[in-house]
Amino acid sequence: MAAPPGPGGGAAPVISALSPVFLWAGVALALVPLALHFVARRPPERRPLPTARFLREDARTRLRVERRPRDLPLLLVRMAFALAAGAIFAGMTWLSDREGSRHVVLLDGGASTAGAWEEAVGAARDALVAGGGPDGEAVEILAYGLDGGARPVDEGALASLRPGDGTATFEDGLRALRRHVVDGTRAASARVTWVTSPRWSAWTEGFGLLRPALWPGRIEVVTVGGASDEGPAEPLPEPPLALIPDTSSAGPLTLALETLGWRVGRETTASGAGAGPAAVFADAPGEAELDGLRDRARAGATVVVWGAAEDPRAVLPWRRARAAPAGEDAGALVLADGVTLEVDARGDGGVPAPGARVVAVFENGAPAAAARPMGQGCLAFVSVPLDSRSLAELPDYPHLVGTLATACAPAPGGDDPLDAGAVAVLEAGAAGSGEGGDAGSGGGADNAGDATGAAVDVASLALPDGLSLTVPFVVLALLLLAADVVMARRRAP
Amino acid sequence: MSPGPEAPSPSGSSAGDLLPPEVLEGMGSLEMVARIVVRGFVGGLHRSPFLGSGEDFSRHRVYQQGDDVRRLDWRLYGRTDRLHVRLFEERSNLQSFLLLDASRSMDFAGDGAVTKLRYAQFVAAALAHLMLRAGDAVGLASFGSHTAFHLPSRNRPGHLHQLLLALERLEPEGDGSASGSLDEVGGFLRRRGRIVLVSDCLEDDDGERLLDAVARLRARGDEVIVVRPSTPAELGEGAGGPGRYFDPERPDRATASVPAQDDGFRDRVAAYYDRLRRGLEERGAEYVPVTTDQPLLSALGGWLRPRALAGARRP
Repeated sequence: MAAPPGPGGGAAPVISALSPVFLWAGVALALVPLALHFVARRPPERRPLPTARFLREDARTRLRVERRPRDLPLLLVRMAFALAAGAIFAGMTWLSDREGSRHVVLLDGGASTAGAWEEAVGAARDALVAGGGPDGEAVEILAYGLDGGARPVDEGALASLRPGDGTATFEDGLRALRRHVVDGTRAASARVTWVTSPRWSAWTEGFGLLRPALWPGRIEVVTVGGASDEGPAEPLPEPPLALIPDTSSAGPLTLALETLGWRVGRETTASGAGAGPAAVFADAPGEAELDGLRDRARAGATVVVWGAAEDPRAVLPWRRARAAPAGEDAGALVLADGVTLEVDARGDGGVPAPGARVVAVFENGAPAAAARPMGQGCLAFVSVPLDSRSLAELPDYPHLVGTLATACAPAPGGDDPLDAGAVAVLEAGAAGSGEGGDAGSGGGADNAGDATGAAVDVASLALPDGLSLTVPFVVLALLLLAADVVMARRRAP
Repeated sequence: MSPGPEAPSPSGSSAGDLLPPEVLEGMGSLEMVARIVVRGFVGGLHRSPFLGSGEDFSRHRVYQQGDDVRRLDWRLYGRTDRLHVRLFEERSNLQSFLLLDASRSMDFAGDGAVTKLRYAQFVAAALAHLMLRAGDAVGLASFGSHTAFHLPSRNRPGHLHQLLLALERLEPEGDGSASGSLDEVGGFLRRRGRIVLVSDCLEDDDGERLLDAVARLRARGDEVIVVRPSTPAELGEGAGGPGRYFDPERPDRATASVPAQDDGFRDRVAAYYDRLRRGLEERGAEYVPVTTDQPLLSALGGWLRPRALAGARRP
């Protein structure tokens, strides 16, 4: 809520209310004493006069006496008290000298936009040239993620502007925007056009919840760099090769890998590094075979081992317990992404080797699988028989195999483009709202003039520099209450 | 006899400047008030307004050896060349009663500093002092809800003090009428006497019973003096604003009015008191209207000085 502009359209102070509903409640409460003063009639003042018998009652006089004004000052005091009480609970804040609306073009100057920097600068220039929309608002560019932090950039400096070396997160961008609008301008409202290459690398944990708090309105997102929600821009190469043990029980494993889009081959010997399997599966390899597998891992493959491998040199990312394998029921197998497989196989009671990453756990929390990067590849160990028939019959068995086959791959995201849901969060601030379905598509310049970003009242932000009016209203309310008591007591009975 | 216009004090200064009621109120005791008022009044006068002890001149007689030479009338000797003495007729002291109205209507001050009852106490104190000083026996009675006899009519050392104390203790109450109390007080007088009624005379029957009681007293030969204190507000001067006005003796009857805008209010009050005055004068009583904003010397002087100069009216 903001106060209207001052006379002549100049800067006017803005009063913010965190909970405007209490202001309306105060107004409603102020009507109560007003109604009571009109409804209740206090008898006219009685006065003694021994010669009263000689007075004559006049109808007009009687009317005036009975309808004389009734404590207008007391009425005003009570109404003012009700309004002050509403203001106290409304959380009023005084913001001085704010006027007008701004259109801020937020330019992502981080590493994710570096690959489409010219396109991003062009989109920002287009938004600047397009102007401030029908209201004629001022337009300015705010670039963040640059070396040296965020700063406003005028059109003349755009050509020489260079992106920063580091990744600028979305959170960085919104915080820079908020600081600029609140502290760097005296605008009463602002709308935003965000020029960025929306990548997962810029998405910080909890950003989905933070987004509406940092900026409570819609943002027009202009996507550069060809990022879209349709998956990777480059076509997939030939399906990767997975080598499985040359055993009859490899059937379910073959089927699972092929379901995932892998080519499956059989490796009868643990030969050295050769061209290209992306994954190698081995069941209880011997020491010599394990050496060969290690070489394959160094060459870039993900080697997945299960069973009692001979590992005197601790190659595997697993350390078995010295005693016999664990006998107690560890429950279901739970992968890192939460997928659960009901297994009746039991783990061997081992623990991940130092430096290994846990890929799966049992339901009781005991580790079930671990992986460790090795050279250009990865070495993974799973403590349950991967080719067991009972495991292979589970619906999520292919998912388990695929997870193990990419055990050392980075977490979802990285430099991948955001999906549609994440872009919607970026635009609307509400995860899964579906409102941003059309955002991000169509490219940058076409959206520069489209005012889909709604103006946000600066007063709606929790501004640290506002002057809280709660205490003054409390003092005012107490003074009015004291005045009410004094004035009520002085009323003639 | 109605009081004339404001008379100068014996010292020559305006009596209206002396001893306003609020000053008297601040003095404290009625005894102090009485002494000051009386001193301020009687100074310079050769005769008391209330003739009491002593003798009245009867006739002249030729001087005989042994007569009191102080009674020789030298003026007559100058005319006749013969010595004559003045002979006086003895007269007994007058029995007087002060009857004060202590009803609720007297507990009204208007915008003034003192109530009518308090002013009446000042008047009664001054009159008691004067009458006792003149040798009269003075008693005290009051009426409110009933007639109360506070002191018998006496003139002895200490009586003034007791009378003033009794005056001081009067409290307003009730809505009594003066007529009945006048009859009761008259019954207390064993011989012809004087009754001084200090009351606002606001009677329900336009004062007819009051006038009848006065007439009965006068028929017996009693001297009746009615001192009527009022406030300016009651008389319509500086009347109040809008309100529901009620008689303190009739609180259930209120009239919504604006006295300042009731043009006939003052005339109606004046007409009532004028009718009462005529009735009292027709019956041979003295009527002394005073207002509570008047200094006491000014209020009573206009009545007492002519009385002192001319001599008391004989019953």
